[in-house]
Amino acid sequence: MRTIFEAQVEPLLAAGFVITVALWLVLSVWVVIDRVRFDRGQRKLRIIHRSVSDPRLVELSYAERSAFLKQLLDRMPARTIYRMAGDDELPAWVREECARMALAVIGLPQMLRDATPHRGARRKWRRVSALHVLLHARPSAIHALLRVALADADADVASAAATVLQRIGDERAAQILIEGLRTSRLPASRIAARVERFTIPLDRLLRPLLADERAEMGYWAATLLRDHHDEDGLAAALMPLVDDTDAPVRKAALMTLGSMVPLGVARVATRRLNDPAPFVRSAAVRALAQAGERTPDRARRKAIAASACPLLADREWTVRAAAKDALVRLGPGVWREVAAELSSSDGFARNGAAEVLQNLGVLDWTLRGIASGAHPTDEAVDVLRRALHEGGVAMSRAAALRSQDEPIGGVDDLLRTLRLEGALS
Amino acid sequence: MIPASPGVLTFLHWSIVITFVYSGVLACYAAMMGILAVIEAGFRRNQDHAEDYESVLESAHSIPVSIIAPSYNEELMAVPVLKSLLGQAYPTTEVIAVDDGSTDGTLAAMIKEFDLEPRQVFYRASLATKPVLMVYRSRTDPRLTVVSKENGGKADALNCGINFARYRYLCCVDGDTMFTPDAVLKAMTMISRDPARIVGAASFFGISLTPETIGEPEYDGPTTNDHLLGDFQLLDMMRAFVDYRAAWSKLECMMCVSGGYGMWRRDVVIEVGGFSPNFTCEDIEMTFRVHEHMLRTKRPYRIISLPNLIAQTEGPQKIPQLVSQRARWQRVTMETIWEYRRMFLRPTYRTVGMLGVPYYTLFECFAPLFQVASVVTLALAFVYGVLGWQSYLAFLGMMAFGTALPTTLAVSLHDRGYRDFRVRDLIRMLLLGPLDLFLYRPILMWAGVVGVWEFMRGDKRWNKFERNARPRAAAPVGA
Repeated sequence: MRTIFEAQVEPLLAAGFVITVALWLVLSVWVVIDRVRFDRGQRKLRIIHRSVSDPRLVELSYAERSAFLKQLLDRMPARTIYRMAGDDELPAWVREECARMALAVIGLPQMLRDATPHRGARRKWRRVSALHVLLHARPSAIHALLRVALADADADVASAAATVLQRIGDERAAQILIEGLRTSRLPASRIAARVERFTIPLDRLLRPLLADERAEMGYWAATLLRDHHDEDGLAAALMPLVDDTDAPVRKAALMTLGSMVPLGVARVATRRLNDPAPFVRSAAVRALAQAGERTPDRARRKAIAASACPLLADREWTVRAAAKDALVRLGPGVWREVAAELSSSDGFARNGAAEVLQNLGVLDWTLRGIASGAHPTDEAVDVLRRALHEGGVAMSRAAALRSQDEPIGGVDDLLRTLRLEGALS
Repeated sequence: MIPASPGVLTFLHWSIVITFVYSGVLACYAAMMGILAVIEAGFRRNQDHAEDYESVLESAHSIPVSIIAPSYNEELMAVPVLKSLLGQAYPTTEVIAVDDGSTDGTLAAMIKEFDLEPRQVFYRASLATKPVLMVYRSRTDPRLTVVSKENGGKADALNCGINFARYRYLCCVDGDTMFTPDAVLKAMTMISRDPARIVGAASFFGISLTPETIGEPEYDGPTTNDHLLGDFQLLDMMRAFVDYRAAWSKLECMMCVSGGYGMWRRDVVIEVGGFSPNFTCEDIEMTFRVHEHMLRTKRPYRIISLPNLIAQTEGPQKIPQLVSQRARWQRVTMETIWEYRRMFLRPTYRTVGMLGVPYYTLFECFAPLFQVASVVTLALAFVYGVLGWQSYLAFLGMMAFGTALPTTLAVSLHDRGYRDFRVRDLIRMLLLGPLDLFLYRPILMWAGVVGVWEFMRGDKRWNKFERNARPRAAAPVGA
């Protein structure tokens, strides 16, 4: 048995050993050689980068610059030049020149063919590269090719198309991207990220979509108009969307109006505080906070706080969190409105109010007043007492720890007494 | 050579046959993984080059992320780690650091560095945890919340952080892992391509003996450690992420989103009940649970692994520490496989049941037993003269270079994609490959045996290893 076993296995083992050693050796040597070649290429590219970034080159004529670059890129592989055409770190004129050179080698017809719908992974990445190079050549067919690419089922192709369209940056490109919000398989937020980087005003394209019967178009139009100014009645056109039947549209309209006309949004936002959709209620309270922050009118700010306070008792935690943030943003001037919630029958409202009062600095301010003998008003002391009671031991402990920064004599005893008094009152 | 009875000879022959078959099946699996890893790496490389990260970075529509960083007795690392998290280049993030009842100066260091002030915060307790002792907010960076709680283990600390998290995606990290500024951006860019389906994501993180160097101004990309044990661990991680997890990801059965860096969709984590404190570690079990839940409820989902090197975590510098850590990993793998044994070869669980779980069962759970049996069998075969010394050496050589191949492939794929290690580091890594079998595997094998023994005993300890000595010992902040 021993002989048979060895006779069968030994040659196999020897062959296996030789094969594995050879494989390891070949792969290892290839890794090192590939890396050394890459580093050498990078060194050359760095020299080119440095040379083409010389500010004196800009003063040369186009023909002289072009000749200089051609000289630099002489003997560089076509693939490298192809890649340089899409390298954002190079000056625009170098990228364009590289694209032109790549086109000269590969030819526009081939490049256009590469940019058409693909089959297979290799063709896909060639298509993506072709789209980037065509950005510089700008053939008349580029928009049509990008429209098709944006609608492609493959997310990588669609994403590349969205990037190139944004870099083209003209109105036609914007139109394709905006249409792609609805038709592309790419998540709309990814397309919106490109649309918002356009430097040309897009309100002319987006505004008609506010009345579009497709809810998602209304949503994106309202969202993407956020950084626009209220010109030609844009805010007035957005106002009806606050009452749209589609909840995301209502939210988008509120948020855009909040940044476009912060003072004018208060009335409609107050109306939406009872919206059935929690995220609309959150958007409404945030819009109200924006309005409150901007208004110089203290009475108006207090009124806004009074309308936001009931949301401290909302059934959704996201809305309660938004309400707390909003009230803190309105500043310490609204403490009375917040303190009124300490008497609410709802537990969330009471401890939410205590937390807001803590974050407004009202508790620390009153505590410091008592400890320093400045005698805050009875009302302030009562609010402190009730807030500490609602906030629980942790709130008192936090206040005591905060006071360690500026030591207040007997603060622990004071806090304990106040909390207990709060419990009794 | 000792004469052996026919019974012993027969036993040895069959043992050798089993050893060869096991090694052969493992080699086939490794070859399949290698091919898939090459395809996946090429795909990710192209995707990475074509990706427009700038638009994600500047967009108001980027999905916000809550980063949760639990720490326990991380006095030395807590501050640098939080700085690296707060330094993430991403539009909207919040960082929730959970101090899990540290007994050293971890909390004091954080309070001092980030000017923390105590606050009472009423949060939504979606997951049950040990009591919160105090919540702190930073006066210098409003994105930072520090939660101090009673000690309850990493899973409990993560659940506590989730209760405070406000955003849809959670980035769960380790308190001793340092991150590159684009760690969140790289993962979220991929996730934002398909947020409806991607519920979890992992990414490659390296092993360093001093990971805090990543935050230093003179940091110029990753390097090897100039320390054999550290470098073997780095290669181990590279192999795991660049070869295997990439391949598993392609097959849609990526079975472990590591605790060092894992992105999870909050709603799914809440739905499955949060991280479980009933296991030795929380990461692999959570991944198995999410797979099981999503496949059982027949919902479309993906858990992906990305090849980008986005962080460095501290690896043990001494063998006993490494044995202790790897024994824990072995233990949790066995605990998880045992818990989810119902998925084994069940077509309902698709590639997870048909490939992922069987692989983990055969080549992770039983690996230490097979490895020990193989070593004993081959030694006996040599002693009894069943295997001649030439065959014995040929087999050892084949195993050494065979196990080096996945390492070499991982180094190659990583270098093709990122070109971040220096050439001399590459050469060092490549040369270490064939030595792995003799210098590193025996440690892992022993750790595996210890892990199996601990599993049988029902041991659930974390066995945190002591922090490595620093060449330039930084004085603990706040000390």
